[in-house]
Amino acid sequence: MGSPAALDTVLPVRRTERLSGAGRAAVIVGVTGLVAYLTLVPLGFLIYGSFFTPGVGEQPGIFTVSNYLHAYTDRSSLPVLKNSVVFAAGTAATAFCLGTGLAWITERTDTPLSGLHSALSLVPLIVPGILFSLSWIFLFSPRIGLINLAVRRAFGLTDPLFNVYSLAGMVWVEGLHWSPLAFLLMTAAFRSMDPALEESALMSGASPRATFFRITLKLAMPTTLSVMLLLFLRGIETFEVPAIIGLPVGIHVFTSKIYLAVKGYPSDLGLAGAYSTLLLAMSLLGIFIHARVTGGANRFATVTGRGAVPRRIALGRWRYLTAAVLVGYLGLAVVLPLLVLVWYSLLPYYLQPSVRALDLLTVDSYRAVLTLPAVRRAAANTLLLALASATAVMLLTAVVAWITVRTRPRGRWLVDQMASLPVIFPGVVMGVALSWAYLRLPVPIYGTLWILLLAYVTRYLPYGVRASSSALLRIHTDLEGAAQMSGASWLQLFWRILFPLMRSGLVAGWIYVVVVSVRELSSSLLLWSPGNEVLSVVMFDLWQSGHPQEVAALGVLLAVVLTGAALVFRRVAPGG
Amino acid sequence: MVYTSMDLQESRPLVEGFMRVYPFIRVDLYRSTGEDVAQRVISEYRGRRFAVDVIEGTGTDVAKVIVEGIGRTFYSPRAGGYPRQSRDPHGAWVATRYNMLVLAWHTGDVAAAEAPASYEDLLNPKWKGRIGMEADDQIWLAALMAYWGEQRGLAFFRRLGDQHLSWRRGHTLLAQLIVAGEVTLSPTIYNHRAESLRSRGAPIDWRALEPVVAFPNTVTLARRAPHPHAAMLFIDYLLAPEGQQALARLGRIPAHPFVKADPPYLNQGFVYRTIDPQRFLREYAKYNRIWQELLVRTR
Repeated sequence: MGSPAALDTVLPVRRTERLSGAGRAAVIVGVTGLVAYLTLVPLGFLIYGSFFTPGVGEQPGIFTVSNYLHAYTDRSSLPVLKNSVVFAAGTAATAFCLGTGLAWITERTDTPLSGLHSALSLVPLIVPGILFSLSWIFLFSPRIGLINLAVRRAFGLTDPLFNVYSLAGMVWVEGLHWSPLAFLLMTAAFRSMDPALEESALMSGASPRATFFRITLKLAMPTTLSVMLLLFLRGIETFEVPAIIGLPVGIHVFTSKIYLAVKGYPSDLGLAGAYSTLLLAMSLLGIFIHARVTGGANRFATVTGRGAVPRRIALGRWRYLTAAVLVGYLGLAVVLPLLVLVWYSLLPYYLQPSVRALDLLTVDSYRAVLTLPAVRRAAANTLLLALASATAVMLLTAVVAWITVRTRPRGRWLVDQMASLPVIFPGVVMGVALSWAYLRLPVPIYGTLWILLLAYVTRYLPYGVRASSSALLRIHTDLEGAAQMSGASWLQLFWRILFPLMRSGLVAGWIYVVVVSVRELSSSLLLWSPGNEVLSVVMFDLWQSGHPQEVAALGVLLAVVLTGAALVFRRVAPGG
Repeated sequence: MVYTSMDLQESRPLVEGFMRVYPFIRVDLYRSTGEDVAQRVISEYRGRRFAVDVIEGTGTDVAKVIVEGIGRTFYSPRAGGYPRQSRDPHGAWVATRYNMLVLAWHTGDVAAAEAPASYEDLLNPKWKGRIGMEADDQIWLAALMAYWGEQRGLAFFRRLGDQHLSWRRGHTLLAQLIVAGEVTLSPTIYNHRAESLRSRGAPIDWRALEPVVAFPNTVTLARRAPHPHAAMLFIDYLLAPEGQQALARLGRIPAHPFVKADPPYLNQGFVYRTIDPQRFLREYAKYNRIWQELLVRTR
């Protein structure tokens, strides 16, 4: 202290404004540029393409607005859009309630078995969508569903109790599938929460329930909104569950329109693009609302200068109830479908569990999978890609979050918007856009692992951004101020203060991106090349060639390995 | 460099067989769905990257590539023995294997004697709500319409659409659901799949409804193949009895007229019809409309 520079810091100037310097400017410009590059290249392709008819052979595509006219005036879209919105809203609500409730139970109460739950909670996210949906058919189909048969036998009912082939069934399956995302992000929010307000509420005689709804949830508002937004957009964009469960009973969703446009001949990417702009509009609106509500950073700051570890609420006798909820969820969302998968993978073909079926049990599919040379190479590639893309996504989005939450340049929200754009791309369109771009641009990454990395990073930026910015919104600015007062440079500030404080949010995002990168299929299918196989492509290949048992075996192995890895990782990374 | 829609487990023995004959040629395989193969080749050519030598895949997707001017006519001494419906009259493609669409059913629900013996039998009211259909088999409809003529075809498909069809995406999924008993029967099952499941003891059986629709898988030579001579050797091998027998051993149905499928009744003892993939593509919009309106009935 004493130097003019140090004196300077005491002046009541906006502290973030004062972190100026060449380094900081370079980081802002660099990251913004990178995000813009990653997201605007495919977006440009999408928009440009949406104004053309598909070109065939010598006949080039011609400029047209008919794609938009068709997409926005087609009356048959309306009911389909309604289905999509109901489905997505239902999914978001289901996944959010489940994920949040579970996060609160495991993080903030003294419920037994919390550790077990955290370990197993990722499973629904890991299992490939087609298998997850299939196992629900095996469980809840009116004809062959195991649960339905069991209930019918037990109570002598004539009508099946559950029907998976319904909008409710779709919401249930998809909601369970995505509940781990809500769980991960909400866990991070609860973990880094200053307990002062909750404690005051409890002290003033509020019941734990009132405290949860009126204090805890409200404090977690930025994360809540982020999670809801992500889940909703996912629900709009998703394809697997509607294709497997909705299609047989004629419940069509908006993405089927996109699918049909791409799948037809000539493949109408332009029309698909025009449809996607509708998703774009929805996502922009969502982000706008999010920014409105979470404006005024410190309102939601729960990590302040006062060190404090969130207190776990002693539930007393109620904790057996919450433990029952955990076990119930695990049983339904994890153990039941996983058991069906294991059963499926151990048989030469699907059979209802019976004595006869027991004789047929075999580990052939596991042996087949483990001896396939492509599997080993693909596993190595997948591992590399998943780790690299998750790390890149979280590093990039931490800075993006900082730019949008902490700095003041005009148009900073644009960076957030840009980073959130890819959520609207159907995977196929992203694959086409990237291959198209890198066949022309003088960047020699086509046909290498790099183009897959680029695809993954781009696709999962939106999730990273939501995780990071909600993590940053929880941190009070006074900590940065303190760091600065002590003369920390911008890099030091970031590396030694912000990163560690955002850790729980970043780790949650990181785990999520790792898992979804392992699953990514629709872009990978188009972008992989010999020697660069990834696991999802190999699984798809096995599925297509009529070896679903092998796919189930790989899915089970993947669930075991990734869950184990997540467990170890949580142990090793404190606060993670 | 070969781009194919044949899956890895099946293409590997084929490639190994080829490399035993020509040990100095290395084969790189890119395998994906038919659509993605076509999409990739077309993108690459538009971006002026000429990496692919041989394109093998579903007839329609190879036809897309040919329409783009990426395939080229080629002469293979092995193609001469193939029947006319397995060859392009202009010499741009030859069929390598067939996917035969037959009727398959869950044996727990339906006895063989009771199962439909003709397409008309599918219209029997007792099958209402029990027929599963693959969601993207427009070519099946097109081939049957071409055989029956427009009027009879439309009448049949309109009545089939009244049967409350249960739509499933993907032939693998559909076959699995028949085995599981979720779907009772379906006329859009690949017979080699049904056969392989049946031979493992699964409760599924199949029967040819005449005429059986056969999807051809075809091969073409890329216009700017970087290794045209090696590519021709590969195509020759694929079409020769050796390559065709290798396919048959894998349970696939060879296109070669004298190579027997394994078991032989996979392509013998019934009439099958195929369709010129290029013609199908030209009229895709029409067939797709009929498909969506009469069968899928999206509202």
